[in-house]
This record gives sequence, C-alpha cells and structure tokens, in this order.
Amino acid sequence: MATVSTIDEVDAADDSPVAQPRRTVPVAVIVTPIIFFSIFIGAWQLLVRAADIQVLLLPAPTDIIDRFFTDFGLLFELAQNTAIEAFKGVLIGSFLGVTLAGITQPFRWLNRGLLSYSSTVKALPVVALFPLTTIFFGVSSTAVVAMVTIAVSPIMFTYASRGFSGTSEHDELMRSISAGPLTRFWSLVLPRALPYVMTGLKTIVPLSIIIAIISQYFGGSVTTLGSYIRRESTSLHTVDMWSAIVMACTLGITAFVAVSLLDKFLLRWHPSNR
Amino acid sequence: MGRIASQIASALFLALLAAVLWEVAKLVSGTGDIKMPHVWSILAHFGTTTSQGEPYSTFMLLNVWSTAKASLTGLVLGVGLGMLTGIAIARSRLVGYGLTPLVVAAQAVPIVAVAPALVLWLGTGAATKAAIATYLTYFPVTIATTRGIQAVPAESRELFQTIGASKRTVLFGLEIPFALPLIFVGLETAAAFSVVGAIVAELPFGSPDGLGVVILTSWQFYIFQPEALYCVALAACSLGAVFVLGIRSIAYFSLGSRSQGEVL
Amino acid sequence: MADQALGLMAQNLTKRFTGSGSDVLALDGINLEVPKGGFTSVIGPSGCGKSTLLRILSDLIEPTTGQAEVNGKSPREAREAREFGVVFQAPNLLPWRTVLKNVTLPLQVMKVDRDDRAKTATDMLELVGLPGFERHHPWQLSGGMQQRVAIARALSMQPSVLFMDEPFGALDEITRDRLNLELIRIWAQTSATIMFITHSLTEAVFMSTQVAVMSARPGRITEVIDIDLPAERTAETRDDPRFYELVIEVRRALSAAAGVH
Repeated sequence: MATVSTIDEVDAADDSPVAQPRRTVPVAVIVTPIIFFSIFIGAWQLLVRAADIQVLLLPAPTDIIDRFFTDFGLLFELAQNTAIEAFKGVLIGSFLGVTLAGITQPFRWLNRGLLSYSSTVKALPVVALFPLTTIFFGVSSTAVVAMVTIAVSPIMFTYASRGFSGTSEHDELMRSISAGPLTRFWSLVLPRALPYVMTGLKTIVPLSIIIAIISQYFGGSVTTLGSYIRRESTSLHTVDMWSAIVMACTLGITAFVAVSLLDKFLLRWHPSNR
Repeated sequence: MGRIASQIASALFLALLAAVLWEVAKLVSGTGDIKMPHVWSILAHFGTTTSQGEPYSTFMLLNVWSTAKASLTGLVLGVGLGMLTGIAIARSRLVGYGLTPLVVAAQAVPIVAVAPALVLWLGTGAATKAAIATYLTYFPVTIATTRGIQAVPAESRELFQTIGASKRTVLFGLEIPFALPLIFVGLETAAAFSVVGAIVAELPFGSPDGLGVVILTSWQFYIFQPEALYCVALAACSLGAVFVLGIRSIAYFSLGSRSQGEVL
Repeated sequence: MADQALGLMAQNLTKRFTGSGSDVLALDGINLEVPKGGFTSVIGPSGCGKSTLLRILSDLIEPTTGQAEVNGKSPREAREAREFGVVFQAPNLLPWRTVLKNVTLPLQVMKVDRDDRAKTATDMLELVGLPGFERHHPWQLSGGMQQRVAIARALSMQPSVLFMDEPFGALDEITRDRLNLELIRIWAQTSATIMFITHSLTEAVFMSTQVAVMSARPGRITEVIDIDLPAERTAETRDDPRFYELVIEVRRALSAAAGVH
C-alpha cells in the first residue's frame, strides 16, 4: 500500500472560492423609465388641455389620478376580488398542468401530443370560451376561475413538461448511489423542474389577471375590476373607467413583482439569480 | 415528413380521445343536452341551415373571414411597429432602460379596458378592429425583437466591427438574422393575440359581422340552439390555431433547423 | 479464495451498442484483474470504451456477454450493497444543495440519521482538504474544489471500491497535479480499490500500481503494465528516472495499440 507525505501548501489564492459579484443597479435603470413615463404623461396632459378634449373621449391624467385616489378604497376592494379569482385559477391550473405533465412523462407520445396542442392553445380566445364556462357555472365568480384555469393549465403543462423531461448527469449519479424512486423524485426531479415551473408562473400570473378581468367584463361577480370597467364604460363614466384601468395595471405589476420575488427566494441557487 | 405525419396522427387521436372523454363525462354526470350537447350534434350543426336560408358552414366561414381580415391587418401593423420599437430599444441602452418597463407595464393593461376607449375615438368600423388587434400584437413582438437583438454575442459584434460594417449592415446582416428565431416565437404569440383582439373588438361594439358577433348571438340565444355556441368556439379556436401554425410554418421554412422546434 | 483477493474482475467482457441504424462493438473480450486495494489506471484514446468498461463494472450499463465482479459479487449486488463510489468527469453536484448536503446525499439514501450523516460528511470534507466549506453552494467553488466535493461524496459511503472516470480531465495541469497527490493520500488512508480512467500518461503512471492500455474500435486491453515505483508517491517521484521509463513504456504500448488497427 502506498503511503504519501503530506501535500504541499495549498495555494490559497488559486483555490479560493469563486468571488460573488455584487450587482449594483445603475441609476439609469431606475431614473430613465421614470423620465420617459413622466414625458408620456406630461404630453398626454398637455394634449388633453390644449386641444380641449372632452372628458368623455380622453380624460386628463390629473383627473384620472384624482379619481384613483378618491375611489381608492373601492378600487382596492375590486382589485382584491379580481386577484382572488385570478389566483384561484392559477392555483388550480398550475396543479393540473404540473400533474398532467408528471403523469404523462412515461408516455412520450401522449406527452408530445399534448404539448402540440397546448402550444397552439395560446390561441384560445378567452372571449370564445368564456360564454361556455358561464353555461356550466352560471354567470359567476366560478366561471371566471374556470376560465383562468383553462387558459393557464396548458401553459403550465408545457413548462412543467420541459422541467420534468430534462435529463442530466445527475440521473447517473442517482443510479450510482442506488437512490430509490422517491429519493430520485424529491432530490432530483422536483428541484430540477422548479426553475421551469417558476418561469411558467411568471408568464401565467400576469396573464391570469388579464384573463380574469376580461372574463369579468363579460359577466362575473359585480365586485370585480372587469365588471366595474364594463359598467363605467357603458355608462360613459370615462374617468372612473380609466381609474379602474390604472388599478388593473397596478395589480398586474404587483402580481408580477410578487412572482419575481418568489422566484428569487426559491431559486437562490439558480444561475439566473446569482 | 414522417415526423409531421405522426404528429398529425397523434393530434387527431387526441381530438378523438377528447370527444370520447366528453361523452363519458356527459354520461357519468348525467348532464342534459342543453348544457352539454353530444359531440355529434355539435358537429352536425355545421351542416344545418340558418334562418336566413344559407348553410351554416358558409355563414361561419364568412364570419371567420371577416375576423381573419381584421386580425391579419392588426398582425402586420403590430409586427411592423413592434420590430421598429424593438430595434430602437435594443440600439440604445438608455432608450432600453426607459421603454422596457413601460412596455411591460402596458402589457398589463387588459384589452377590454382599452377597447372601449378605442371605440370612442375610432368608431365601430374596421379601423377599430385593426387598431385593437395591433395593440395586442405590438407588445409581444417588441419584447421578442428586443430580447433577440440583445442576445447577439459580443464576439459577433466585434467581428462586424473589425470588418468595418455600417450600422445598416450590422442590422440586416447580424442582428435581425440572429434574432429571427426569437422574433418568430414572439410572432406566434402575436398571431394568437391578433385573433383575440379582432374578436374582442367585434363584441359589444355593434360590429356588423365577425366571430365576436356570432359569439354574442349564440350566447344570447343559447337555449334555442346550444350547439351554436360550441360551434363558434371551435371556429374561433381553429382560426387562432391556423394563424399560429401559419407563423410556425413560415418560421420552419425560412429558418430551417434554426427555428425553435417543429411546426406542430 | 483467489476471488477474495480481487477487488475488480472482468472476464471476456463484450459490449455491443445497437440502435437506430448503428451497430457498434464498444468492448471486445475485456479481461482485467485488479487486486484488492490496488490502484489501476485505464488509459487509451478517445472512444476506446474506457468509460463503457467503467460503467459496466459500476452497474450503470449491462454487458452484452462476459462476466464482471466487484468484491467477488456481481456489479448490481455491489451497487445495491453500496460497496463502491463513482466519481464522474463532471462533479455532478446538485446545485440546489449546499456542499454538506451534497456530500450527505448517498447517506441520506442509505437512511443514515442526520447527525451521523453530518459527522461523516464533515470528516470526508476534511479528508479531501475542504474543511469549513460545508455551507457553501457548488457555484461558489472552483472546478477543482467541486471535484473534491464529488470525491468526498463518493467516499462518504466508506466504499471499498472507487470508480473514477477522468475526474480531473476538466482541470488545469497545476490543479490536477495537486489533486493527484491528494488522491494518493486518500487512497493510502482508505485502502480502497481504485479504478481510474485517464487520458494523461503521467497521471496514470504517477498514481497507479498498474496501468491497463486499451485500443479503440473495438475496445480491447492490449497490455497491462505493472508500475514498480516505490509505494510512497510524492512530488519527487516525478523526478525519478524510473518514472520516465515507465511513461515511455506506456506511451509505446499506446502507439502499439493504435497501430494494431
């Protein structure tokens, strides 16, 4: 048996861990959009006032913001209800999509066939299917949730399928340590699929808000943004309508930011988050 | 070729499977014919005649065509404007910082909120339809173009620099060809959205024809003819699918192996 | 009796790969014996089947014909008894786990309890020269360090056999030399049987007790060279004239193997 003397000094600098780059956000990234946005709003305001455009046609930003804050309580509640319906749809739809992706993994032909369908299903005009959901669930909140679920599950199915079907050297590793199927699932398949699911969520969450609002526009519970927008637009209360639009925008952005934060939190180890 | 054939086969098989599942669900839940018409009666409805005396299928096709025209116009406009914006954004870092968040935020505005405003400005004619379709297609194309051009590797840019290429050459010789696969992915989404946009535009705004109108009437008179709503839903989805597959085919034939995935 | 003295045994091993239109004879009649506690390097040109051989012995793939034994058992039995560890060319660390959790992965599978796992893992990390890095993530480590974690992981099962498929192939020469010395030290401390695949002649001669030379297409072992360098290998061993003689001998064997086809 060979014995060996202790190794030479480790060259610390050579073997040191890879430095973690500090990412400072340049000032420009924050300031420029604000400038652009202000210019846009400013031009809008100027246009409305200078051309003396009727409130009916295009209200001035000042009027809109004013109404937004006045009605904030109401708008917030509407946004909440909308968010809840959208969120339920995301939850159910994601669950269905992920489960279906998982179940069809062993059946490649089935999985591929479904993938073809779901990628074309982006073309689902909500407006064509929503009436059908109201037939089933009545003109109600449930119909909206159902619509979001229908719209969202194919997308999650696609992303989850990609996440589950990737193979890596880690599969060999699992075999070499004789890991059982349960270990393989929890320690490899699931974490490996997570980035894909999160990317899917980033697409789905803002989409769910939009679909919820569109569905609510055509018929849903009255205490929702979509329904409110419809009421106000048909009664030509354009300022109220626009303030609701501002709220809808805010909701969409907030939802997106929330998902991004979740992504950063869950995927600290992922290359995209270093 | 065999690949496409087998994909078509499995697509047909799945459609058949869906029909079977529908009937099974109907049987098991005992749902009546009003809520859940039989698959065959839905399909049979395409063969009936409308109260005006014309074949339902012709009626449907005419409306599909009306919507398709508006979608196509919107798509072309949206793609054109979107690519221009995307190129502008990718060009200048400052413009990029400024516009990107705005573009992303604008996507969050639900179309039903903007549509009424557009109707107020432009009336209820074809212009509004095209405008709404353009609005929806504009954003995915812009984002895809920006991302595609930004993904051009630095070494390739350096190469073009060393051969003294003009900005125009860089644009048409490097940036666009490189970004094309990603742009096509954005185009797919845009194509789907253009159909949605056209239909939304037709909806409550008194448009004379188009799938949106058919959807509304079928919804209103559902009790009398439940199959109709299903038929128009199928037609609308098929139109969207045709648009998406159309874009994919163009991508496949112009990019070959570089396109992201196969046609189906 | 003779079997017990053998750590690894391959007898007339053949592997044929058939698949969509291709038929490749990867290994043709491989015979190899590695005594218990021996360090055998397998060297040969790309595509000669060295990895295939390793994968058959480690039960990652099945041979077409022939027999293989690890510690007197079939590869499958040995794998299920967790008697060997595998180190691949890529560290294969799970990016979502800390270094410690990566090392304890096999122990987790073996249902060892948490505290014992942590203790073993910490010991192994110290053995490979990475004390204190338990809470780091793989992406914070250099390639050499990641590979050492992979070795620690393979060792955590206290295996009597270690399979290593070009583990230092992706590293620069300086790091590789250092890790060679580390591996020898670990080998001395654990008395494991090691099968080591490499492209590098100097690496093979430096560390092993025997070097098996393979030819390509189909893969055959053309020669097994005994490395009669002193048991204690140090950095100075590379200056030993006998070292160079052996390297030349291996090189000759390699060209002979290449010339056979």
